[in-house]
Amino acid sequence: MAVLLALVAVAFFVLPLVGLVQRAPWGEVWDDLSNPAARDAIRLSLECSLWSTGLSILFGVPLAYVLARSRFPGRSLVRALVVLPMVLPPVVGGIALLFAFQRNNGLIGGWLYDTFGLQFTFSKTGVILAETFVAMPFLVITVEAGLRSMDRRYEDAAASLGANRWTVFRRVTLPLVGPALFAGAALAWARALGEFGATITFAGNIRGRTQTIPLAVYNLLETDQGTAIALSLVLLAVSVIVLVLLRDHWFGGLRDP
Amino acid sequence: MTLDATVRLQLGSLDLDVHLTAADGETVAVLGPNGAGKSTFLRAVAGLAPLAGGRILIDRAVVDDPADGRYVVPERRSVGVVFQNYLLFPHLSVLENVAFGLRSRGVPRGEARRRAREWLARMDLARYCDAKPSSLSGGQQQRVALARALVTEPRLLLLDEPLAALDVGTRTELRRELRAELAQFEGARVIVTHELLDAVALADRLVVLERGRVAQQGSVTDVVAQPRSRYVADLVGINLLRGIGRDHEVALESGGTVATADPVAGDVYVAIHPHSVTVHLREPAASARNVWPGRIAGTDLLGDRVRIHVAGEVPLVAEVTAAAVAELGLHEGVGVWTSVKATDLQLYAA
Repeated sequence: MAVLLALVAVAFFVLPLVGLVQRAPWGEVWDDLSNPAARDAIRLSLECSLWSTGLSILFGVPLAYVLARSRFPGRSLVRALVVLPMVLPPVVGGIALLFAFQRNNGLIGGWLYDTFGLQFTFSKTGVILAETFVAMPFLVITVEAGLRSMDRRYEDAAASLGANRWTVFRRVTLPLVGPALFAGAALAWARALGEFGATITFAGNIRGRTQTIPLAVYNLLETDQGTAIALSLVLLAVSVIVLVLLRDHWFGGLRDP
Repeated sequence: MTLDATVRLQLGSLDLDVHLTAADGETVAVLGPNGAGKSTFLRAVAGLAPLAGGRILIDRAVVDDPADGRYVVPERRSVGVVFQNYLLFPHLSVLENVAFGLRSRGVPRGEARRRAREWLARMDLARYCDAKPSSLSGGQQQRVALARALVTEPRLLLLDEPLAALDVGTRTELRRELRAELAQFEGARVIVTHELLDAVALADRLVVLERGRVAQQGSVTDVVAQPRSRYVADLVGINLLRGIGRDHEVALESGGTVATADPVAGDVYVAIHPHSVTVHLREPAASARNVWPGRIAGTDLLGDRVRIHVAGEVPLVAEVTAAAVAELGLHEGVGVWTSVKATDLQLYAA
């Protein structure tokens, strides 16, 4: 009985994939991906997702370090807030971002525009911000877990050898959590690449400016199904590649002894 | 004194209060059971565990004094540490591991590598410069750890169980090597171990730590000859009893009495070597006045000798031949009598 239910579950996951792949016009995939709308979307998606991964690393690693290494009141609350975007419906995230960052009536949007000239709505910057909002939590929790599981005595050894805290971090801690950082960055990148709800709500859906691959797929499904499917296959391929890259990190512990 | 440390701190259930000194060229072994606070003491000296009280001086300079708010960070103490399991950085080559301390102290890369290479050559490890530590044997890793700790020319060398990670076969040889290497280091050395043999082979002076306190200290020969704690006595392999002496008798703490050859007074230790203990199946009628009933609680084989643990009012370990065990049927659970001649007792003040 259990096996039967398990088979149903497996089928439930496999059928949609089969559905997508069997509808793909394989002969025309390359042509579809070459059409201007698709190419704009791919270029924009790559650019924004890489920026967002970079920002996630820049801010997420220190955040993970603080969460893993220091004790302060409200730490659990901070962690909960950081992880919230992972469970928050992205549309809600997009609206929340709007009320914080939009130029007219956002919490700090006006100030950001006046001081730095930053304009988020209907701009690439907005896409990057939305993607970072949903992607960074993946990096933070993965790196934090890595920091927690590493043997801290290596840091003691480095300190006893005369390394200051920055040197210890740069030459010992960071390399030792390297695999976790790589995994976190890959997950964050994949999440950023697939981001839809927060982007469309916060940054809009303008071709060449804020229309990333998922938004393009959504648009093209009505008018140009072939290109929509081709772009979907690109996202599917990326997911599979990330999964393969992370197999040791993610599933290493699950393997049979 | 190169090291003059009074360390007071609490860590979990450990309540540490230890005073220890070490002079240039001296090796002090800190010996004690697991959880006695040996490693914590070492970490405190290195600046890796915060003191609650006490004071640490290295080369007459105060590096730690909580009462005075003085604390020198680990990287500014002239201390080299060989950690338990060595803790060689797994992502760096052997050469980079050894050069690490110099690089951290701002020595340019080329110069740091040159000096690291020199040290590795001294340790006969020149051909492993580019290897990763995990590809080396335990003994080689130990030498790399030593080179890494010594390359910055510290005044004080701390070694935490430097031989524990090695298998028994190579241990004897590496113990000898380590002794030779330590002899070349001019500063003070403090070595933490739970193996009496390591302490005897490597140290000039022994400090026995039990439950966070110094239970006994002195030259290796003194401590081994006159143990003042059950832990050391067990390590040395002799029976240690304690009691109050009066006239020709010692009333033991645990109950029972021991008759002595000479008059004895006050709080004393009674040490009895296991081969001075005779085991009988029936109560002996002989001249020995120290006769106690008991029951065999266990036996250990030691070459062709057997150590018999006899439980009773006066628990003793007796050493007999394997032949005697077979002949008399001295197995676990058998009721026996133990006897010791008064002249075979060793008495010293507690």
